[in-house]
Amino acid sequence: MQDITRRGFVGLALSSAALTVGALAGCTPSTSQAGSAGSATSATAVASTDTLRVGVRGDVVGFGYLNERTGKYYGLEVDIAEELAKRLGYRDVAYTTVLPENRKELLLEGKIDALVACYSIADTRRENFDFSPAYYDDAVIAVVQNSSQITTIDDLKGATFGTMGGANAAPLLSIKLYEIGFSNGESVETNEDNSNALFDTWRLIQYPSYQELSDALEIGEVDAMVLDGAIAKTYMNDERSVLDGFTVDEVSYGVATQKGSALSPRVAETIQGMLDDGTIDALIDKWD
Amino acid sequence: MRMSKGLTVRIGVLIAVVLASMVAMGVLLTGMQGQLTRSSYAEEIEYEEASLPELLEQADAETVENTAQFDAIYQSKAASVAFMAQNDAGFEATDAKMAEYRELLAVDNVMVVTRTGEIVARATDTPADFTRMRFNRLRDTFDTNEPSEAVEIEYPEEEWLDRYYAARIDDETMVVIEQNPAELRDLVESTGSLASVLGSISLGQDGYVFAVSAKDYVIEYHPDEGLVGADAIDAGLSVENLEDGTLANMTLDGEALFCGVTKIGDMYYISAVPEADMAASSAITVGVILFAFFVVIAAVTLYGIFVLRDDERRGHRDEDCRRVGPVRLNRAIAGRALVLAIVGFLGILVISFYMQTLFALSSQSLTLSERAESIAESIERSQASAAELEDQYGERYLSKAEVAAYIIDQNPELATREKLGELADALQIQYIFTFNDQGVMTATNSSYTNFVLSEDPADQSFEFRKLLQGVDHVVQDAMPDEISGELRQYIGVTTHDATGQLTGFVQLGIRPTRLENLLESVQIDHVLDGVQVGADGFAFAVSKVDGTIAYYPDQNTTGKDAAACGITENQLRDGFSDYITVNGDRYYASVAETSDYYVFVVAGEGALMNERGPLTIATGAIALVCLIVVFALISVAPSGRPAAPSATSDGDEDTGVVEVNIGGRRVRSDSAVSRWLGRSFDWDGLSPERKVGCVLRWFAAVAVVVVCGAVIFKDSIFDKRSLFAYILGGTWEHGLNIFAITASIMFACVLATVAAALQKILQFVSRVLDARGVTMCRLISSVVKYASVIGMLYWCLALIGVDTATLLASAGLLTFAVSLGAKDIVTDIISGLFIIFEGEFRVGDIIQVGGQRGTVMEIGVRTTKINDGSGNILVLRNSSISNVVNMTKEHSYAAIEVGIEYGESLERVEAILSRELPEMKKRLPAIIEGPFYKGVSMLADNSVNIKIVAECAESDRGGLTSDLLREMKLLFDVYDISIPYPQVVVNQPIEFKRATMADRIAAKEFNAEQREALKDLADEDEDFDESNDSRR
Repeated sequence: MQDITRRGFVGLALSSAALTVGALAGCTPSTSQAGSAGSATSATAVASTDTLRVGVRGDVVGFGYLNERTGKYYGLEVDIAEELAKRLGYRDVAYTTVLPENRKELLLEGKIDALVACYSIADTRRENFDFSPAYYDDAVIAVVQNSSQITTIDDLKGATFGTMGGANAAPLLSIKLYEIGFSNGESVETNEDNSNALFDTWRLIQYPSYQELSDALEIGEVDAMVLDGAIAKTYMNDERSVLDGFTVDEVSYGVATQKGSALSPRVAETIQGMLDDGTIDALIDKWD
Repeated sequence: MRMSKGLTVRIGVLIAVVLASMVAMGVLLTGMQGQLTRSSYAEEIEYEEASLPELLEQADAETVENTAQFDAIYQSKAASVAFMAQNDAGFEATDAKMAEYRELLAVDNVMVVTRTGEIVARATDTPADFTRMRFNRLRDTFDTNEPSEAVEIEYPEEEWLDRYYAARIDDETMVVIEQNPAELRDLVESTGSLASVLGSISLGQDGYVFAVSAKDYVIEYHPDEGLVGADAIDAGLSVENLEDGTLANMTLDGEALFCGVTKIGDMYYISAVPEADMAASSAITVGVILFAFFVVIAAVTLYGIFVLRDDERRGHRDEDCRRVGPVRLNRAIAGRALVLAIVGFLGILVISFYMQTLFALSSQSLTLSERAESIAESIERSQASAAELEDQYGERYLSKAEVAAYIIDQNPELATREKLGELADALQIQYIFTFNDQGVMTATNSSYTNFVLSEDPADQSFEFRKLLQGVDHVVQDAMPDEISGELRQYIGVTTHDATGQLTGFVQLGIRPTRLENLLESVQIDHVLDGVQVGADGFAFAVSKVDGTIAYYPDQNTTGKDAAACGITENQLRDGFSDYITVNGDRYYASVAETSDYYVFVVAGEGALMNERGPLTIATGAIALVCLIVVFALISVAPSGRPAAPSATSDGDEDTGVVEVNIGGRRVRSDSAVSRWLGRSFDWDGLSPERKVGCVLRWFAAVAVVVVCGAVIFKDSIFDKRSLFAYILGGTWEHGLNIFAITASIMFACVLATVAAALQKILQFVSRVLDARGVTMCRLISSVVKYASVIGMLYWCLALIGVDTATLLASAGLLTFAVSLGAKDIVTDIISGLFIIFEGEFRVGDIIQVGGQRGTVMEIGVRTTKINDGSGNILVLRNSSISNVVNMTKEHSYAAIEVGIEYGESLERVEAILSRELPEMKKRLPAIIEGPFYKGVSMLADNSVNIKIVAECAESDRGGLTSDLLREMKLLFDVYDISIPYPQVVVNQPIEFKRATMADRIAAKEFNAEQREALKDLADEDEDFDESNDSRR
């Protein structure tokens, strides 16, 4: 039995993200297809400076959503990327679908120029990337089934929490639960890939996709799912509610670029410009 | 012939004006019509949007209600198991018992579960893990002692869809019932879903409402199922347009739509009308008006162009012109152009008004009848669903009664007031009664006491005696209670002891409030109240049973006799659509029939009808301006222009045309021969009037053929529910109304086209046939003509509502009357019609009939009047006009015969004639050609008769004959040629002069020459010259 500290867990959770990527790449054909298509596009686009290569989400309605029938992307982040490219003087934008578990690598390896993919600004991430000013503020929240009659965080003592593997939610949750005195932050036992960890007063299960997380909540495998508010919208229904008075963390989405790249200051400046002139507010309004 | 530059410019300007006015008219009409359609649709969309929230609320309420109902059933099932467990009714926590309960209760699974979630007993395996917090809600039953609310799990991946209900047995265990809610889903889908609400909404003809999620822009509902689930942005909608209150043109999946958007909750509801729909309805109207306008303008303009060209060719006649200031007005042209323009203008007004009316009325008619049908349908549907619901309730309560009977069977001790009360609570019913095998009530939770089943078959309770005679169960229809009057339903199921012996029965008494509500909502006033059609329309119904008005918005009218309010018998039928008068108010109505009622949907003359006037006036105004411009261009010229010299003689231009005299005015007309032979004329040789006539005929032909084509190919060109299809469909009222008239015109067009085509074919065929074949062809052609006219009359009369059977019968009567006395008059009339139809002659023709010759002045219904040339009017009865010779030919011949003495040298006379005949022509201007010497016509008793003919107009023939005779006499006097006359001759031999050699040669040449000249002239028969014959 491993005995790891809270900090230790953060690192562990992050590394687990990388592990899940490896496990996932083979089993979800759509993801790998999108990825390879994306890299093909970027390979041809490397030479051209006319095209801005942007990584966006393909599964978050209202932010970055890929219509599989047409291969087009829709959403706030897609519009922001479009506007950004226009203001930066690019002729074209090439989109690549990114997932929480692979977005980091894609950007690090230079297969994309920028990430506009519900990527929250965090100090840990700042070490590797440059971030533009935040264009969207969101919160990491907990969603429960009404039938479980959980109304406060205290009702969740001894309960199971679910998160999406590779997202920032798991470490943020463990920190938050520690901070509010819900838990001592010590994990009691974990399985090999950290996808199932038991803590003193709660259990954490991580799922490879948001859909599976949502299904787990539906059948009662987890009692609460913890995820970004923007993403939660897609999975809400009449029988579910956001746990009142409990916010895991405030997050802000920013455009991430490679650390120290020439693009970084220009992107930051442009996003600031779009914030100042109300463009982003208008876009948020449009997609709300 | 080349045109002068000035003329070319004027014609150019004329054409430009016509084109410009066409464009202006097209833009105006399309604009106004489009605006009109748009605003009417906008109004409808607005109305629909306003009513949408209520509809959705209703649907939501229905869903909540349905869900509550569904839950209540299974909660009561759970409760009844708990009741059995608590009351020693054979309950055991074993899998076998659970399976038995599952059968009894008709549920998917029955389980006994501990408070913590351990399954103690179950009928079958379950995927649910009740220890999880997800099922906390079920544990509520321990606290409330009531059945729990439902917990639903839907996990499509594992095909797990179930609802769970729990009821407390004791502090540690509970009964859990697992049930797949497919039935509930279906019910919600059909009553409360978006599809069920939006699917029943229609806008105009093809309009609909679709829904787009405001969250993710996915199309949540669309009549086309292929689009449901598609991305709306992707399908063509723009995010900007998707805002509450937008009214704009949008495109969805390639279809142009006129849409209104309203946002309710997280959904955009888009009321859409296909643009094609809007355009199609007005395109025909605009097209027809535009065509009429074009015909009129083109006719006037072409007339102008023809006149100008003709004028230039022949030179101006100054007496026609009048100087007005700096310009010259050509009076002759102005007069005719004015008439043409005025008639055309009136035509445009009439056609425009007619088309607007047709358009407005048919669209209103369509809307109303669709509305009426949908109301009738919803009445029928709710009646059907009421019946279905009644069955469903019966079944549901029967199952409860069976459970109650099962419980009593298991533990007869429970038949006490207190326990029955508990059981009633568990089963969620009002009353339970138990009866013994004698039909005497043994226990109940109600206030009834000492009740015994009635032995009177008329009583409500009598029916339950059947239970004592071997029937398992009785489900009585809900009916008003004999005592309280409330709607109540009774269901009975027999009870047995352990040996299976009948011990009596259990009866449930239910107050089906929901059924009651539904039955109420089926009431006609409930359905029709709130029906709104346009601005002032409403619906009412007439009962089929007694012919009274079952519902009318005005309370006073409801219940009155329909006939007393002005509704006639023939209006009371399915599909009626016409004006009706109710209480003195005129409405346009459509009727649909249900099993009990005639549903009327009526509307006042809608906005469309009111717009007719302004639209027509606007059309007329543009037409007027255009006509004035064209008119001015035609008839007015700058005065400075010199009169062009006469370019050619008009000798060969008037082929086939003769001038006739009608009412003192000289008018050109076709010659008799050319009318029938269909001779083709030299276009340039025609007069402007005839050219315009030709052009107008072409236009008419085009219109007729187009209409015919549209009628024949209506199915492929027009949508089934378009106006055109409606008019052709013949579902409107037969009678003197605009639809009947339109349909008649269309039918006439079809028939005319077919007949014309047939005749044309026959004409072609006749070319290759011999004389006999030609005769047959002509005959068939004639039969076709009359058959089509008679068929058309018959059909159109039928459309207009004349009872044709009666017509035929009355025709028989008429014949009878005719044979009695009025025969001659009728013969005259019919003969007159035939004269006109066959075109034997027309006004202005010179005809010869029965030895009388003269100019036709008038063809009347009974008589024909002929002017014999001397001012005498010959009145001929039409029936007596036979053997007509129409002499309105291109040229006539005046012929005279003169006798010369036998002794006179013929050759000398001929030599003189050869010199003098040309001189004669100069003196007699009536002669067109000749005079010709026709040779010796007879060696008579006393003279040698020679014949002289001259070509002239028929009207000049009489005069010319006299003139020629005079000339001959004078000629003979000059040359001492003696004309023999009876005289006494004193025999004194005279030496006749001999012909000189020169005479002989001249005579020979002359003869040859004359023969040559006469070769082409009329035959040797001396036609029409009886006078000569008699003189012989």
